[in-house]
Amino acid sequence: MGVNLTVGMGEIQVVRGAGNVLTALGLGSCVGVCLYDPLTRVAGMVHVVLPKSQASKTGELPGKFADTAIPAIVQRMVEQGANVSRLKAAIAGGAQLFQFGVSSSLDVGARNAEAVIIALREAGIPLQAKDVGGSAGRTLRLISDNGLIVVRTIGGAERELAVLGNILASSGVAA
Amino acid sequence: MSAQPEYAFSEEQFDALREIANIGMGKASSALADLINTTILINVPQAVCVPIGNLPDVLRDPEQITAGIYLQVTGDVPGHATFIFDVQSAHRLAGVLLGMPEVSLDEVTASALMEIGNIMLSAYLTAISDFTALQLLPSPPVMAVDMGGAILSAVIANMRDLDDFAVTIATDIYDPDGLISGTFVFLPEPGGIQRILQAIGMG
Repeated sequence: MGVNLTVGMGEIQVVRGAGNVLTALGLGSCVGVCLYDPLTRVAGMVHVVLPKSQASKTGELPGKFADTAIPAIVQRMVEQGANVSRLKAAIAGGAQLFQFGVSSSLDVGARNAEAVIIALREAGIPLQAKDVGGSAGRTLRLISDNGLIVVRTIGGAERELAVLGNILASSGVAA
Repeated sequence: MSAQPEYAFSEEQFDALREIANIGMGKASSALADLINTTILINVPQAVCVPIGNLPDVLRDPEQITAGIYLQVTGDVPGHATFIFDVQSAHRLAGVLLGMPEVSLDEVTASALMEIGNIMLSAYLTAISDFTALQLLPSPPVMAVDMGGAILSAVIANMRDLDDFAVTIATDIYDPDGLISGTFVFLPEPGGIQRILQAIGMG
């Protein structure tokens, strides 16, 4: 039986096999990172809140910070049988919600997206698609059957961002 | 850094926080009631310590479109205050204040709503200051129109010292005709709750 899991702030969720759905509701300045291994159908999502971890602290949720979230979710996925070399990523979020009366210091969204992109590059995971920035909050969903990523904003329909499980394309086989 | 994890608070301490929140929200809701000449009611405040991932659950529907007015609190209890109104309520509030039956959410209505947030938070903080003899000051407001959960998460990301758990004091406000409904959420920075409890001899 598939599961439908919500990925709250700072949380990491990893599932294996078809029929599962991972959802991050209402991403504001946070960034939702989806990772997918098409062969084993190990799917993961992490809900990143801030760009950099505070080294002085212990017992932190690694998923809270971009620099610790990516290594932590990759490890969780490898434990479930994923292979790092097959992982592909899509990200959404990092908006600047407060449009009225704002000072720029509130724009943690842009810094979050940038930090996530750097962390993915350092982990050697290709970023297939991104929907970041702007001023609208997003709900992000990952369907484990084929790595389909859908994004919804207020006043908009759910739209497809990427299909991370396109094995033919990823392995270079002609369709 | 907090000396002890804030989720270690006792039920008596949470009761005291609810009572203080009740005093503050009583003043804030009567300030709103005076402003728009309507009866405004409040629910019993929630005071909980939850993993930050569960914080949007204080809202009935984190995906609902809302107008969120966010103000920072400085002074002895630094924290983050957010009034989250559903969009229809926000329209009505701004409309009543501006003397117009129908308004859209533009710069003018936003500034009216931010002023409402400012007046309510000032009333809330003054009541808590009077009760605890602590100094709490509001910063200028900012506003967004978006999913309530997204607004709350953007506020949480703005905390200076983000623990894995956070104390949340949340109160629903509404009017008897069901025209206005919203939630007030106060997120103190770690350490702020101890200061409130110590001030009332429950630390």
